[in-house]
Amino acid sequence: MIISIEWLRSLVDFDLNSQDLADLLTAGGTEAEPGGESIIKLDLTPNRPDCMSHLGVAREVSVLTGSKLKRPEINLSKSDTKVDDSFSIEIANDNECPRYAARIVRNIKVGPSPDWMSSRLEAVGIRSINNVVDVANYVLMELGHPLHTFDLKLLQGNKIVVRLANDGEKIVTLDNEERTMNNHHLLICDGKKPVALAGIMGCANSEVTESTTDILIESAYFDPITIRRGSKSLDLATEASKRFERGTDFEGLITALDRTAELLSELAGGDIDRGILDAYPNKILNEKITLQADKASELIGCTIDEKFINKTFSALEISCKKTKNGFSALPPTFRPDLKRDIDLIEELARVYGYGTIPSDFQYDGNLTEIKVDPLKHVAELKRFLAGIGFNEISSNSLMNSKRAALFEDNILEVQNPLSNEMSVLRPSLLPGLLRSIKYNLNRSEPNLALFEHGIVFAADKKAELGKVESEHLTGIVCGQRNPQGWRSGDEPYDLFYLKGVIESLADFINVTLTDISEAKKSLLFNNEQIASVNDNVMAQIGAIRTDQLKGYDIDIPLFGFSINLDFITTMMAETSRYQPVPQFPAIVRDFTFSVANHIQAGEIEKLIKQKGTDLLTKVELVDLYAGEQVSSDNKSVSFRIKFESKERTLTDTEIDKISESIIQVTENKLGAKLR
Amino acid sequence: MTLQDKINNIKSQFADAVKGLSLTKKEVSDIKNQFLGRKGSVAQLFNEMKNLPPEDRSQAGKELNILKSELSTKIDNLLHAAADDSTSSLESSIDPTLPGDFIPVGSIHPIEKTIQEIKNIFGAIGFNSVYGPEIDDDYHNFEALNIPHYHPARDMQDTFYITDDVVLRTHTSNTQIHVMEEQQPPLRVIVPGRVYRNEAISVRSYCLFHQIEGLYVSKNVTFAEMKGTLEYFVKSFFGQNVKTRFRPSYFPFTEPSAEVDVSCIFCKGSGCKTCKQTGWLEILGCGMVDPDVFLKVGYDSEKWSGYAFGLGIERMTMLKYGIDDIRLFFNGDVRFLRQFR
Ligand SMILES: [Zn+2]
Repeated sequence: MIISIEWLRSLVDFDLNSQDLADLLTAGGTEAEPGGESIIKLDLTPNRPDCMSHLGVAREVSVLTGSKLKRPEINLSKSDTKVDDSFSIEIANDNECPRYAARIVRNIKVGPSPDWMSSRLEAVGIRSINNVVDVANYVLMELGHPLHTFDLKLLQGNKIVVRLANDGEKIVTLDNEERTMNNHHLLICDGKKPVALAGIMGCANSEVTESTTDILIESAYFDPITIRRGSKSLDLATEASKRFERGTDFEGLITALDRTAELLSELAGGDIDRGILDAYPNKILNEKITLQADKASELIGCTIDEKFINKTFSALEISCKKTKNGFSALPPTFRPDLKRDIDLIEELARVYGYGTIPSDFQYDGNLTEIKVDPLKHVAELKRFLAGIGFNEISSNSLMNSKRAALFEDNILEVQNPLSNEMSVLRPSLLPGLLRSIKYNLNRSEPNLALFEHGIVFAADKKAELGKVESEHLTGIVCGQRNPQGWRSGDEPYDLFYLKGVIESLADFINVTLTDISEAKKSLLFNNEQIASVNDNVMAQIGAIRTDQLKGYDIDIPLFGFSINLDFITTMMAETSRYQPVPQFPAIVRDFTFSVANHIQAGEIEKLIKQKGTDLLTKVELVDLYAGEQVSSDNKSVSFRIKFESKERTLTDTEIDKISESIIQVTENKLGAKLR
Repeated sequence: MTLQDKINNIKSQFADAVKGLSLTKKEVSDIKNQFLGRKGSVAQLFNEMKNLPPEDRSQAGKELNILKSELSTKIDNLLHAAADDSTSSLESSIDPTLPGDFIPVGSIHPIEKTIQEIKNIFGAIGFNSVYGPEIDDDYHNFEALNIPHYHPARDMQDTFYITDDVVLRTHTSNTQIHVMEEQQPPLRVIVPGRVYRNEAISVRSYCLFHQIEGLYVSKNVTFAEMKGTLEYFVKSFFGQNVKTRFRPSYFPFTEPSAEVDVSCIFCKGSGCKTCKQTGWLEILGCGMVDPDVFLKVGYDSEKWSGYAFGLGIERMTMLKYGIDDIRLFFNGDVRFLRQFR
């Protein structure tokens, strides 16, 4: 909404430049910025239709400065023709159109507007067309009530009928668009045909033209929801519809009608029929509001006294009577937003000035039990991952449906997507990570360790609202972990790295992995391995499935992991009890076995653990060798085994005995030879 | 001879063996054998333990272990010294300007950093963190917040729909309703989370962003308290010298409503491009909880009052770090991400 400062000055006196005026209005709740010296631009909130006019903004200025509001004076010259003799108004749907008023002006001459009017209109961005159209626009901008003018001679049957449209009924609006109605649209018709889409736009068939002489001026009150719904369904928003849908002044519409008739007769030389056609079947009630005396002070947090209340209400045109317990206030009909005491308190607070209200900061302790942040442990987990080199990303939850289908079956679709690329909700965090991998590879960043924590979605007809939201933490690595340096070679990001990450994570959260082995069925990844603690899955790791790389054009190996957040955060929330530090020295023995190549290290380890008795506390694979020193179908595997007792010092003899049994069983079962 | 005597004996023998000598590796290893080998003097003492009365054995074992570890530490040190000895010529040729073993460190996403920081600021004054669904029904996202169908306020937020009744939440305010439905006052919560707007992607706007919603409901909560609390927040987040400005605004679910501006952190209020020459930056919306919202969740608005606020994490983060393109948050560019530790 654009306000001309010159026009505004004709309605209220103020001694402010455009910047100061904008600041004043902004501080009062009507966000404004200067558009040079002569206009200000308002960014109005939908609760304030009263400010969609120069008079409304002038009233704000008057409220905030104390300067008096100067309403335009209206002097109607009336002719002898009585309006009712010739014309009637019928409202068929009075819920949708509670009031419809009209005046008739005859014998006008359509022509250009005077300069003062066209320049004011142009200042607020409206092109001057002719005196009839301009007057309607002028009154709209001055008083805020939308008006419509019909060429009376084009109205058939000497009447206006306001009715809901029939489904499929077609009209041609002023913009020469043919529009199909449904039975929610409200139409203004004459005795034969629709002549306007109520509150939104007129029809071409009754438009005022150069040759028009007699005019019917419409000034009506339409139900805001009806107009809103009509405007939305046709995707057609006009200056009129924007005001009607926010709520117009159902009493002030008469003033707007008179003002239009006055200006028309003044500028186009017409004769105004005596009387108003006013169909108003059920008077709209404007209800009084009870405001308890201290309630404003209590809610705002400082004293709002009676004097201030009276002064403010009077400036806002709220009529107010003192009662036993407080005030009885009747808001003006141009303020549809004032219905309850709290609405009046807001008026008092904003006029008092938010800056003037004191600040009160006293922390009164915890109101209820302190609840641990459910994401507290996820935050620690993120710190852990960042600490070992992972970058956290945040990717779009909306994605391409074809790509999503590569990851899951039950994809949740958006009804009104922005584009094909963002038409469904992500079923997995992998596509976002892959997108980021691709993005970085394209920018010469080949060594990547990324993770994301977020919500993924699945469609599920049986679930509440037909969807399931799950919290995931997923990561991808590729390239080199530690690019070759002068002391070491490349250390690739690969499956064993991820396995190590999961093992370290288990250590970090103080759990012992009971198993980390090839999954029976790979679901998430290729060569999937599942790390578990007892029977709880802690994490899945593996290579990114090649079918899921379709379209990414990435030709380097990628590995991923997915963490079971429920399990991990549960474990992290548990306090692990202190374990006594070992009092007796451990005995460490190294064993190097030579075994056939097909024997897996894990098989040897399993046997070692079996025979190690409960004195065995740790088995580490420290070396793996194939080459000159061993025959070609063999490999050499070294384990470091630690024995410890809580009760006593171990003797070499007993460890010798255990060692013997380990050597024996690995030889018997796996053909391993101690080297 | 008591065990203690024997231990002392061994200690002095060891001291003699290593005294005053610049030992070679071989010599150290011989000494190691002599004392700690399988048949060395310490092992012999261990063997003798079985002659002790059973009740003394545990104590003896402990003392012998201490001796053993003491000696092996000393021997290890000697071994190191010996090794260094033999490589002293190499050491002097080491180039100290060679780089260290750099350990690549990862990063926490700036949005997450901001969320955690804000959680800490409000956590310190008793706000619990809670979370709500990203997809919700029309009722919790709009209706219960005084935004019925065909309300012009719906234009303030372009919405993604899953069905006619299910939406991608346009604000974390949906969780206000969930919290109040499940919990009786008094309560003090913040709700961080992802929200969605059907807006074309540009430098300034993205189809999703993150918000933190705050809600405080108790007896006699005032607008002045809301001001004080949010001023505390602004100072904690942006610094002590930042000024705060409250101005009237409109949100359907709060009344009175306010928009909060902070004095521009770039130009200190004198006017620059970021603040569009106004000296102020808009950072959050807030207001006293509308009695109709209390009515919807079954709270008695005569008994309870409260305030709610909502702030955009991306905006806060952009202001804090001077980031000028919102898309940087979402494309996963490690050159950007690595700047946030
Ligand atoms: Zn600035």
